[in-house]
This record gives sequence, C-alpha cells and structure tokens, in this order.
Amino acid sequence: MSGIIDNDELMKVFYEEAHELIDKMKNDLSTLSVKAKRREGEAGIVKTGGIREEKEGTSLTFRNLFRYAHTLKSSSRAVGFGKLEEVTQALERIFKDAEMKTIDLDSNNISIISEGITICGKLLKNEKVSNYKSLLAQLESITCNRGIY
Amino acid sequence: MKADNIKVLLIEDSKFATQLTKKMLDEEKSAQFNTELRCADSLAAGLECLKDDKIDIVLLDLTLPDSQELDTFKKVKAQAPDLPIVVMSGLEDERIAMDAVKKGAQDYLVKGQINSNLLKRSILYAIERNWAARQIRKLNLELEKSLTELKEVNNELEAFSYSVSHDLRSPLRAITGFSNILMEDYTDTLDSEGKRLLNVIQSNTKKMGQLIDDLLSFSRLGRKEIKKSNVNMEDLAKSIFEELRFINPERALKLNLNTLPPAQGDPALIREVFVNLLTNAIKFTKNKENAVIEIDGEAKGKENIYYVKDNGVGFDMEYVNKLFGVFQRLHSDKEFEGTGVGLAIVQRVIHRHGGRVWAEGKVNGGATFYFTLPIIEGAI
Repeated sequence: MSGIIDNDELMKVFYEEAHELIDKMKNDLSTLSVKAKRREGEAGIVKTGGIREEKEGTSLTFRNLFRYAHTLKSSSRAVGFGKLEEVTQALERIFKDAEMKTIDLDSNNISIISEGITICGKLLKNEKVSNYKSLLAQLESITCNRGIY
Repeated sequence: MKADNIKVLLIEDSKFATQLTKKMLDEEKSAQFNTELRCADSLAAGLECLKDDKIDIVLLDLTLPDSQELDTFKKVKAQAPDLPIVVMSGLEDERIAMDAVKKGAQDYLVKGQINSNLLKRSILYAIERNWAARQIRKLNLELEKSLTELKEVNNELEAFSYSVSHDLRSPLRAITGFSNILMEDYTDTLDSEGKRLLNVIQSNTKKMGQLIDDLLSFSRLGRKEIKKSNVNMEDLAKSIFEELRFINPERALKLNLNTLPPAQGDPALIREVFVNLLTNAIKFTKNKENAVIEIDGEAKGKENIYYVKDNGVGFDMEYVNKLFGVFQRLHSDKEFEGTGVGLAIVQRVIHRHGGRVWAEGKVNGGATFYFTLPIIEGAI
C-alpha cells in the first residue's frame, strides 16, 4: 500500500487516528455482539421492560460506528489507501442501514463485520490479506448493494 | 473584501482531516492569502467559537459526534447567519452537501478530492460570494425601507392635496359669492373698467373651481378601492362617445368603432379613461371640419391593447413624456381649454389596474393614445 501524502508528521496523525477508530469500532461491535447473542438466546421470550432503552442505545452505537467508519474512509481516500477506503465504505453503509433500521444484524452478520474491521487493521499495517475480495463481497451482501441514503 | 488574515473556523472531529486542512492552508500562505485557523472537534465547541471569536469563514464537516448531516449545517447557519460556510463532505453524502448549498452554504468540497489550491479558491470565493449576497440583502432592505417611506410620503401627499383642494373651496366660494353680489347689486356704481375686472375675477374663480374639482377627482382616484368586474369596452366606448356628441351638437364627429376585446376592470374607473380620451379627441379636433375618431383594440399576449386615435392637432413627440403629468399642457388655454389633469387621471387608472399607457402623435397629424389592461385568466 502506498500513500500519496509525502509528510511523515501527517501520516503519523493518520495512523494514530486510524488505529484509534478501529479500536473504537471493535469495542462497539463487541457490545453489539453480546446484545445480539442475548437477543437470539431469548427469542420467543416476551420481555416486559427495558426494550426502548436498549433500542435507543443500539441506535446510538450504530451512529457512532457509522461515524468511525466514515472518518476512516475519508482519511483513507485522502492518503490514497484504496483497499482500506473500500472496506470502510462497505462498513459505513452497513452501519447507516442498521441505524436507519433497514437491516437487522444477527450474530452471523456481526462476525462478518468483525472480520472486516480486523482486515482494516491488517491493511493499515500493510499485512497481506488473502481473503480481501471475498470479505468485501460478504460485507456488501449484508446491505444487498443498497445505497447508504 | 479582506484579502489577508482570514480567520477560518474548522469544525471537524477527525484529527487527521484537521491536520491535513492546516497543512493545505499553510502551503497556500502568502501575502495575499494569510489564514488563521481555529479548530473545533464537535458542533458544540464550534458554536461556542462562533459566539466568542471573530470568524470570517466556517469549514464544516457534517458528520460530528454531536450532530449529523444537514442538521449540522442548519445549526451553524442559525448561529452565524451572516458567515460564509463551506461544507466538507464525503463522496457518498455529496447530495446532502448540495442540499446545504441550496440552504445557504457558499460551497462544498469532497473530502479526499481537496488540494490546497482548491481549498484556497473555495475560501476566497465563498467569502466574496457571501459578501456580495450580504450586499444584495442589505440593498434590498434599504430598498424596502425606502419604498415604505415613499409610500408613507405618498399617502401624506395624497391626504395633503385632498385637504388643500377641499379647503380651497370655501374661500373660493366666498370670492365667487361676493363678486356675484358686486356684479348684481353694484353694477350702477362700477364703470366699464371695473366691470371688466370683475369679469376677469369671475372667469378666474370659475377656472380655479375647475382645477380644484379635477385635482380632487385625481386625488380620489389614488384612494378609491378598485372593484373589478367584466367590462364591455365596445358598449362603454360607444355610449360615452354618444354622450359627448350630445353635448357638442355643433360638431361633425365621425366615430370608427372597431370590435374591442372585453376587459376586467373597475367599470366606473375605466369609464373615466374613455371620457378623458374621447373628450380630448373631440377637443383637439375642433379645428377640423371632418373630425374622425377611431377606437380599436386587440388581445396580445397577456394583455388587451386599446387605442383612441384622432385626426386633430396632434403634438410634438419631443414632449410626449410630459403628456401624462398632472397640470401638464402642450397647448395654451386660449387654444384648447383644460386643466391638464385628464391624461394624468387616465394614467393613474390604468396603472392601478396593472396596465400601461403611451401616446404617439405628430404636429397637425393627429394623436393616438394607447392603454393596456391585463387579461385575467378565466375571468371573461
């Protein structure tokens, strides 16, 4: 992966922020993962309270995830990290759709997203990613190629 | 416009995007383009900066931790309505950035496609455009203010001219009354010169009475509410011509009345138009043995155009602009009597209906007076 910005200090800020954003995505996604597993485990059981609060909290998590992916995507484009831009764009779409509730993320989808975020980290470290294309297709299939807005 | 020391407020939550913007602004720094960058990483921090600092332009990221999309723009715009705002958007949310431009942002830049020169130009143009837009708004406000003042002054003038004309009547009545007494009761004690002078007084009071009457009717026209209905222009023109022919039995008058399109207007006021135009046509053909008056009209585009033409003394086109002014006369009272209010009345009535008036003429070659009335859809 080669950058288009010839400025060490600026690239340092890019890497720092990119790692920070990836960590934030990982953390938020793990919270969602726990919630999804609990929801699937409780399938069929009628809950009497706390649903609204949980939904609002989830919506806020998706909004934050969208923002992290969105920021990383814009920065990646600016420094010329094309693959990272593509993956974060796919993630951004998923999070937007999830926030708008046009898709529902089950634990299977969440593990694909988790893999996507891991790949972002690898691309950032310039590590070889063999399953890049198939993962991108899997991410895109979650939103069925729907536009984000 | 300020060419240097531009205070730029960047509202952006990404540290990298902030550093990148800073670097690009530094790259373009010159004697002509000197920027001072202030940064805010949330909407709340940005709004706070706008309160405290003297900012010249805002560079705004729409996706912030505490606000998203168009909402972000609307809140900044509400806080700083007079500042130019350049929206920084992603490629995928370009549509939202364009919406922001429609709602008053000066420009938008797509992240990842910005270079330092583009950023510089965008900032300079945004400030310039915003300045021009503010000037236009300011001028419009001044214009509105002047218009309101003008309307007030006009109303005062109308009221003034009405009350003056009205109040002039009483002393005039007294002069007329007392000169009549002199003429009737003191005729034996007045010599011929005294009688002549008294006659001059009487003819002048009569003339002044006419002037006051005309001025009053002109003044009333400005205040009278227009009540529009369908007007059969052909019947109206014909009946007025017959009335005028009746009071001018000594004149050989020929009328060529063509088919006139019906109009939408206040019948009483439109009547005034024909009365004045036909009175003039008859008056200014008095030296013609065979006076011919032609009335015609046609629908053209969104208006009906009518005209009254005569073969009378006409006028010099050099003075055409004076014709419709109050008390403006192109002939002496000895030649053709009148007060010079008739055409002013015609113009006022037509203008109040949203129409236009104009005239064409030639010395000793007759005159044609045109007027238009707007066609109101579905009215006839």
